[in-house]
Amino acid sequence: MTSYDLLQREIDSLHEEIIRIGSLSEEQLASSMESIVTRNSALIKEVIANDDIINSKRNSIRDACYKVIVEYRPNEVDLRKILTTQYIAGEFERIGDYAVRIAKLARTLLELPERPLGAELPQLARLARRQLHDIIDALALKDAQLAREIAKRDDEVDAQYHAIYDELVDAMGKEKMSGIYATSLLMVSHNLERISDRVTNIAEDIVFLVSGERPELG
Amino acid sequence: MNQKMPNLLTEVLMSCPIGVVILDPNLKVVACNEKAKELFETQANVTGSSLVVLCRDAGFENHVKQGDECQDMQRYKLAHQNKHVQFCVRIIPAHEEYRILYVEDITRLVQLESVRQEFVANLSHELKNPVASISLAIETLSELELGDEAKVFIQRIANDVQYISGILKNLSQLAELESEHIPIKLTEIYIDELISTIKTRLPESEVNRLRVQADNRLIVVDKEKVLQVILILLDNAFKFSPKDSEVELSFEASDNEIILSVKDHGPGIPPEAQQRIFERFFKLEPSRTRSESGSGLGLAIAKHLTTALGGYIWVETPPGGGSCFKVAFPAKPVDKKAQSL
Repeated sequence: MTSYDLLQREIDSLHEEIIRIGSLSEEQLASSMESIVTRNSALIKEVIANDDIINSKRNSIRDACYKVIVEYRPNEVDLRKILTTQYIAGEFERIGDYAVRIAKLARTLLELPERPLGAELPQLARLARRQLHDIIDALALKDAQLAREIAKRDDEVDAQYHAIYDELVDAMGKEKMSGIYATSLLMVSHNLERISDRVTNIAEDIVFLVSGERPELG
Repeated sequence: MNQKMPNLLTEVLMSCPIGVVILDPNLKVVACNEKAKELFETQANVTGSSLVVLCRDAGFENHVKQGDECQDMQRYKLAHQNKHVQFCVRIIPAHEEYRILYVEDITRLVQLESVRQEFVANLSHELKNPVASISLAIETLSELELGDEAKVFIQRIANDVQYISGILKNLSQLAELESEHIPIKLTEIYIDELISTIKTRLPESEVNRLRVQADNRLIVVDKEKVLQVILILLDNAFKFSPKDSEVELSFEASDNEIILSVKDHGPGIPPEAQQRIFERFFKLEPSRTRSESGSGLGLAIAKHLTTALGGYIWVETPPGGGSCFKVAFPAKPVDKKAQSL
């Protein structure tokens, strides 16, 4: 096996590593939202504890990228692939952080009296999750077109987020909901909206990975 | 073999109603059928990629990696797809480094199970109060001056109410065991101490029929759960064997495991029923009178408790007839000398 083949093998395995870290971040997001819906304190703890796994995976991907660069001195195309791997791993790690924040907000909500969650927030969560799920698909397929389409769905997420924002501010104003309850939900939605922004960043990275172009999708 | 056979086999694999994935020694996907892609909701061309590209769940990939010896179906929750699956991994006989992963979506089944569990829990909870009030009423009634005929009926009602409340108690315990993670409280206890506690909880007539065989060792176990399992097994043994016949309880302790067995001289369990007797409400002979047969929940509870203890339970037919229930669970014997050092 030539050094070039070995390098390609390293790049393939890095690619799989980011799909792994992506799937972990998706799982964290799913669990954090479930912990809100089911008011499950064990799940909250689990999400918070699992953050370490994502963080250390991000670090090991970063170190592996440096090692490959030093060892193989890749050409421009390969270097682009390796660097994008690093960027994307960082984005997934951030998404994992948002999931942890959501879990911590779930803990705050758990201490407050239970009340119906409504349909809007779970809907926002579904949109964000679907986007995250699909962007990992686009990554697996190395499909720049699909990535661009997924990035466009950010508008839908934003609209839903603003609708929730208005509604919660209104509910707080009319004292239909306690301030702490409403702001917690608001922060959950905000984190979901941020996740969607990170998905857009990943979409840009995928386009860069495949074509070398640096588009502005957000 | 007919020449068309290989093609036919490929088609069978492709149209198989459960997901089939062939994996190479590095857990890269060699081939997979449509059902597997559908189940994992992926459109990616996964051939040659790691399993994670297909299943999109790093945790599941890890499970499969460790699943070389997982011949039995295991369950796993794919968190981000909110799906429950069961899977097993087989080694391809002629190509030992290759693995086949079978995976099936059982989300609906799991949902149904949880509906059933909730139903049972609610039912037993709802029935508890009326049954308690009936037995209170019966108690009051029996203190009144009544004719002999009325007394017979009241006794009959009292017996049945007692029977029902026994079932309710077992049902709600079973619901509890199923619904949550069962906390294990480990304590140090001498086997002799365990045995004497058992004896205090049995009626004297049964204590006289009990033969015990055990080395007195200090072990670390969840005392209450082990006691409960033993008592369920002893209760069955006494109930189903001829009066005055002996029941043997024995303990075998190895370095990290305890095997306890309860042997009776009853009619024994036919081989075809030996797996099913641990199911709830399974009774060998439905025609048996109620007082004799119990609620049919004891062994289901024993099985749950044993699983919670990290052990397993099974039944054997000893050469001389009767039946012998065995429970194995991890229980570290304590080395007093090592402790004092």
